[in-house]
Amino acid sequence: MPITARGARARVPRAALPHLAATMPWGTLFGGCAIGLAASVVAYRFAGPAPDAAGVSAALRAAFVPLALVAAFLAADPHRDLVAALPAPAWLAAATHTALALPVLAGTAALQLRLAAAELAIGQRYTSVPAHLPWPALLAELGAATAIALATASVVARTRWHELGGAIAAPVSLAVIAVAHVALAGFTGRLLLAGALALATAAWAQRDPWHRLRTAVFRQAWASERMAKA
Amino acid sequence: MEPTIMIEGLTRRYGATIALDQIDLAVSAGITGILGPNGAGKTTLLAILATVAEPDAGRLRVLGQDPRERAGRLRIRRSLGYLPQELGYHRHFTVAAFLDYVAILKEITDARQRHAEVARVLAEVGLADVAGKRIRTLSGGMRRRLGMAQALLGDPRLLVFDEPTAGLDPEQRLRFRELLSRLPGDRTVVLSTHQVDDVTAVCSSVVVILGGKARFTGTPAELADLAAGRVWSAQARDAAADLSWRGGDGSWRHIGTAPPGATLVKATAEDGYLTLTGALDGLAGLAGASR
Amino acid sequence: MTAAAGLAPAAAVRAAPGGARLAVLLAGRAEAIRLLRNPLVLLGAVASAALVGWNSWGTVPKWWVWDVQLGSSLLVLAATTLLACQLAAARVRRDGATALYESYPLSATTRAAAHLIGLAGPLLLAVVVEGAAVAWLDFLGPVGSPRLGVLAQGLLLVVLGGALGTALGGALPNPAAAVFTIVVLGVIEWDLLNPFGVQVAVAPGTAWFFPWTQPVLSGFLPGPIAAIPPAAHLAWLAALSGVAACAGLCLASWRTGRLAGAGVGSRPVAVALAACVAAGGWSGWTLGHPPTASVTAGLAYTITHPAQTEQCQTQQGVRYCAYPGFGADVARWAAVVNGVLGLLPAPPAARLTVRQVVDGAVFQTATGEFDPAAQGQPGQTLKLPKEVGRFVAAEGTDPALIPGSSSPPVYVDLDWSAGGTVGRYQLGLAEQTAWWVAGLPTTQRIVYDTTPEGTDLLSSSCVPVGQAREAIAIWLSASATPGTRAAFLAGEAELARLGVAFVPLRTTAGWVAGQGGAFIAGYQASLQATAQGGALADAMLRLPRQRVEAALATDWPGWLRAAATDQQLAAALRIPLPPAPAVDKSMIDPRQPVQPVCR
Repeated sequence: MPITARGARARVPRAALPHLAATMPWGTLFGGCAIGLAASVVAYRFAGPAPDAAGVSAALRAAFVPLALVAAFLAADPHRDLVAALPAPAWLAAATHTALALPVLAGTAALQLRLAAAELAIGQRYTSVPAHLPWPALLAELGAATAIALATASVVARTRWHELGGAIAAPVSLAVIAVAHVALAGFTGRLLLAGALALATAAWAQRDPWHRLRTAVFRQAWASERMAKA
Repeated sequence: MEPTIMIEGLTRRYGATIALDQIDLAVSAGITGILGPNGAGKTTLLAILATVAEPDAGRLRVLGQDPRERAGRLRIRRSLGYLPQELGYHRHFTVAAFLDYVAILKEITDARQRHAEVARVLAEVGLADVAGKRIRTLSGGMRRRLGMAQALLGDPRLLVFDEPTAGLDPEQRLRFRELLSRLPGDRTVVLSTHQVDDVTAVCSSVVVILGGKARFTGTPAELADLAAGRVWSAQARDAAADLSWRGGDGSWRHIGTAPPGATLVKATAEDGYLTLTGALDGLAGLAGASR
Repeated sequence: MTAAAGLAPAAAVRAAPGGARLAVLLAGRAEAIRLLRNPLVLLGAVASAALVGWNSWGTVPKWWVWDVQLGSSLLVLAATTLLACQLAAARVRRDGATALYESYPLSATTRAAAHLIGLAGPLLLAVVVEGAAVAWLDFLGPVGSPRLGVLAQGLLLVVLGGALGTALGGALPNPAAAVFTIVVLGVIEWDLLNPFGVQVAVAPGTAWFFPWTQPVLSGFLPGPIAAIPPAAHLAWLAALSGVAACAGLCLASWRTGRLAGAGVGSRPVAVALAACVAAGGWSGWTLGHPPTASVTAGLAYTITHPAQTEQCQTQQGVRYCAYPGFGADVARWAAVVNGVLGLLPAPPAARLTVRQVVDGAVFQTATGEFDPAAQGQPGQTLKLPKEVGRFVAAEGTDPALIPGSSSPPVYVDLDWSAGGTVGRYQLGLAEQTAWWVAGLPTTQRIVYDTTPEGTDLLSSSCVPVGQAREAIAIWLSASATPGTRAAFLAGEAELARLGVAFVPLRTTAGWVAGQGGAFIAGYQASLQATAQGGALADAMLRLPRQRVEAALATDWPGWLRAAATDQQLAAALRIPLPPAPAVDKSMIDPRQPVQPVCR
């Protein structure tokens, strides 16, 4: 009989953490964060004489893109075919990688926001009209973009292109993020909704690999079988 | 006693391709070999048994559980050891780290138990000496043995091996047979292979899958009986034979009608398999073209 | 196990002479077909085409803008080609098949050459996309004609993307490298292409390094700029592509330790690299070189002497003067002008001249200087003389600026729409025409208010307080075409939604509530109106047109005099005079100059 104790399932994530940390794409994570931070530093260093909130926000959005795209590389699992037959949940690797990446992404985003605020303060010297960075909206955008990238990566991980992982997920999610940015710009509530939907999509894609990703017509045969059995 | 695996009308499609077509199968404790050519549907069948892929139609019970239900799948996976055809691994993992990780995913969360179990399976497959080496530095055969080792973790009741002996040298194949032989009698092993002699050496039952259908189910002896009375040995090749080839001793082995001057020999399971595949693939026609 | 002894022995296979080069070509063809069928490349092509359609929909394209913009649109295809080529070039390493491929006669360098030859696939796709885009833009009725040298730049961008991807794949097999390379290049290029939203000012001395595609400043000018010669930019892109290709070949050979693989030798690569560096140096120097004085002088003359450079034609008594190439727009303007003039009970006494001008309002600084370089546009070393800035600033202030124009002048700029926003363009022209009919000024005087805090611009003009001709002008402009009516009403609704208060105007008759500006597009004339006039015009719009026309016809010349009041007009229309909106005292600016009542 298998050597498992009662309540072992709840301890699996903690026990697997060192191994999942070893399989984490740290290079991609830190590389993406470095690129995003560098973009913010460049924007701050070479800011014009009177930056305004709109321009600073636009530059910050551009600098957030690498951070969001990091999420496109978090769902890949080289042990995918094996883990599907194991008791541990299929979403464990992706969820752990995401949880490990979030503090780094959040810290980088915080640094970028501080740089943007400092850049905006430069322009405040020449005007008495106060300008504020719409940081809740910007953070909502970053959150939604990251969720979209994660959802795309989770879906790609279930397809025949799963070996290419982020290479497919990144450009696709970039396109989706661009469309969402144009369609939902200025509406923070809708951005949050988009992010929530993306997270739901990611969760749906990360479910048990037993289920195919599509609502297959063939499932009717299965359903009719169940009905016959009942 | 209920068979370990019960399949009725199992069907699986990939787009327009029917990978498995109304398979009926019952597998009890012991070692069952799945034979078949490339693309026959062996890997798909084993993936379904391992609860990795969902069939499109049919009924399936594994270890008394219904894999369509989430709780049933979980119970199956707790008693399952699966070796897929292609075992992915992370480039940084060592042998021991990989097995430790899989053991955790098999819910062996007690560290002492887990380490003991990892050491046990490493010894079983003869990889104890390379426990600290990175997987990417191992040979193909050693990686295959590593795959077997992870399947053995937790001493599962059901073992599903997809091409377990691919890439193994003759000694390692013998060791694999020995390993299977040491398993307790109540274990169920389902393995797919191209090597008929592996099947005859260890399997108590054989299933031949051709074109997504189960064309034969029985013992290796019954598979050999399919060619009984149709296998001949002669000193020269007979153009009228369904199939013929020259052995290492220079004599020709024929399957089909008796060539002139030939001696009837005992059919083997391989002869039976070739008879089965030859009859369905029209190899007789091919042999006719070469006359 | 052989099937039978009757099989013929395998024919001896020998490598044919020159087979290595043929093998490279065949391998390149196979790569090209793979790239043509690559979902990423196809996605990029579709996205590029969609960008063209989206950006051009409902516009009247100017070819000297769009032949550059096509290159910008193809950047998406270039980016996906970069990623696809990186994946292709790194395929062997990624699949762990290095040992297998190294056993083949064709070396890694040769395989890299085959990848580069395979760029013919995405290039072909780019040609198809660009060809379809040209046909589409032609269908929209554009101004001018495309420059083939500029169109070729878009194709070279795709080649550059592929060459970069091949080089990157030779160095880094991780797909993340290509993704983040695209992000970095994309962010830089976006900053270059979106000059009004970015705050990064790149020093002009280094700006020439970045413009993989030229910034589109020329949309505001009446013709293509000769400042950035297409040949130089083409050479720059070709040089970059060549350097990337040589880097890809060198990286492939460095990995395997041999440069002289089958078909690719070290000397040709070195020669090619030297040629690319030389071409890049020349083109970089040319791109960074300021345009010649004759180029800037010619452009300045065109802008500041429209009467000498435009071509005029008369239609139904109205003279239309347009820059060469914009002749097709005359019909669009005439539809609006005729719409206004058609509502008049009697034809106007004077002849109207509608003149096209360069609208420099976007570039004006506080002191009226015209210096695009100040906007931080890298690669754009164009700096027009100050007289251009003074001229475009004077368009809104000097009614007698351009000889031969109407008084007050009626201007249109270089933009027009063919889609959903055409109503706003029509409304802008209709308003000026109606103001001209009513004898109200279309320019304003600029007053400088210098305080210790700085210098502010204050506009000053006459205000038609309580004058019927003001409401008549607003009614004429809104009624000219269905498009002007829709745009006017939409603008009113938007103002109401935004809760825009009526800005107080200081006049010799006291403070009056000013009418908010209509939401127009195109040339932004300086028109003054009161809220009282706007309210009366609103009421007139709700009446049957014939009733308004009949009322105006009773004494048309009289209605155009300053003495005719809103009260009298309302009485003639048999409607109550809408109450004048109150002045919002909280918005009163005591520095505002006193404006006279129009006479």
